[in-house]
Amino acid sequence: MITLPHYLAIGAILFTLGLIGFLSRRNLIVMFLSAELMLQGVALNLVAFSRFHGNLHGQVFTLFVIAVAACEAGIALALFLMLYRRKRSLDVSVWQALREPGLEEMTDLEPLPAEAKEEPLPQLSPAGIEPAREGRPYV
Amino acid sequence: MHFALVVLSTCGLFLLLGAPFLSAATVIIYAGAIIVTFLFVIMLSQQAGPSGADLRTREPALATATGFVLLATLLVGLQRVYDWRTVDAAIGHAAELARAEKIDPDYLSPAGPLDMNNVGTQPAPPLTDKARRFLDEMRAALDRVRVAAPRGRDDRRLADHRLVLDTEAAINGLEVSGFRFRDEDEVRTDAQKIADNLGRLKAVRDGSAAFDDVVVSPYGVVQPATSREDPGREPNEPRPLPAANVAAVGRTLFADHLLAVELAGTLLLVATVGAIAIAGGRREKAA
Repeated sequence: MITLPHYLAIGAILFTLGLIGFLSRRNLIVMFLSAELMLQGVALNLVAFSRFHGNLHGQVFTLFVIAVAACEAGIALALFLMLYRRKRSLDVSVWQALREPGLEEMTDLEPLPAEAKEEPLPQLSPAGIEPAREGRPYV
Repeated sequence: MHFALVVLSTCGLFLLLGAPFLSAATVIIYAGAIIVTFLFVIMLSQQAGPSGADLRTREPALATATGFVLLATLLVGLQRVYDWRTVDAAIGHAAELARAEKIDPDYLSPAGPLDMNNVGTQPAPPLTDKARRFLDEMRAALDRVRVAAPRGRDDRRLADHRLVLDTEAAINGLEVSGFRFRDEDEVRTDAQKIADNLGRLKAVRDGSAAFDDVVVSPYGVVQPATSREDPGREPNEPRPLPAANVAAVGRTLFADHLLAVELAGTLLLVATVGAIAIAGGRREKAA
């Protein structure tokens, strides 16, 4: 028999996994997905209570949770876009300047592996007659 | 992709729980709209390749420890509320003592039989270890099943039901006398009374027994004992949800939660405007 405490335990496990992911990951998007995972655990709890109480209030509340999660997703992703435009990185530890006063900065023990340098796009010589330039009269 | 799998799994569980509308809504909104939005963001925030930062985690040991502490707290809370095995074991021990033809001498106090004529002046006889454990087990079980009586119409405070008081009196009697009464039948009677009362209180908690005219279901609903909507149903089985789930959800939404609906609509509107305002500015205008 699958009874209420089984569903509540699964909700608790989902919530905990989301919490661990949120606290330990660095990529902004993965952190946000972990937060959504926590919301899924809560939604599961609510729907289980609704089933076992025999009324629909839990399901209605879950609908509101989903609506709020959607709002949160929209605004959070807009913010992530803005943050990316500033620092060209989705790593949350580049924003250490926002930390609370008194906390020490979290630095990597080993430097991150150097990103592969982008090869510059090949510059082709312009076709046609070149315009006159300084030191180079019109040819 | 893992997140999409998790969303699909939870919506499968929603189906099991009798929420088909919610399962469909979850799949559509989460694994549909939100993940598509993610894809757009990932597209717009292209990095030169998998960056090394994704492989490093911040404080993984501390985060995992915190997560496990939280999980342990939640699971222990669930076990305290929903696990009845200790109470069943206690009822079993009390019933066993009541049925025993000869009371196990390990229970009996080494002091002599209680002199009923001058009870007040005698010191309490010492209890053996087994007797002490038995009494502690009974008291713990009583604490689990103790039900405060629901408020009567004229009663302004919650009082302990007389079953609880009777059981407490029996346990205290056994303790004070050190398990030695004038004859062993009284010990057996007391043990039987404890077993019966604990069983009955547990049934009240379960919702399978009435309790001064009301039935307290294990899921928090108090209903009068006489009105039973569906006589074919077990007393402690939850009431079935309406089969027309979408219609019923809509009815509940607009009848009971209208204010919340309006507020949620306003919130969605503000969120949309906010998201466009934050991310919609053109690159030239950005500082």
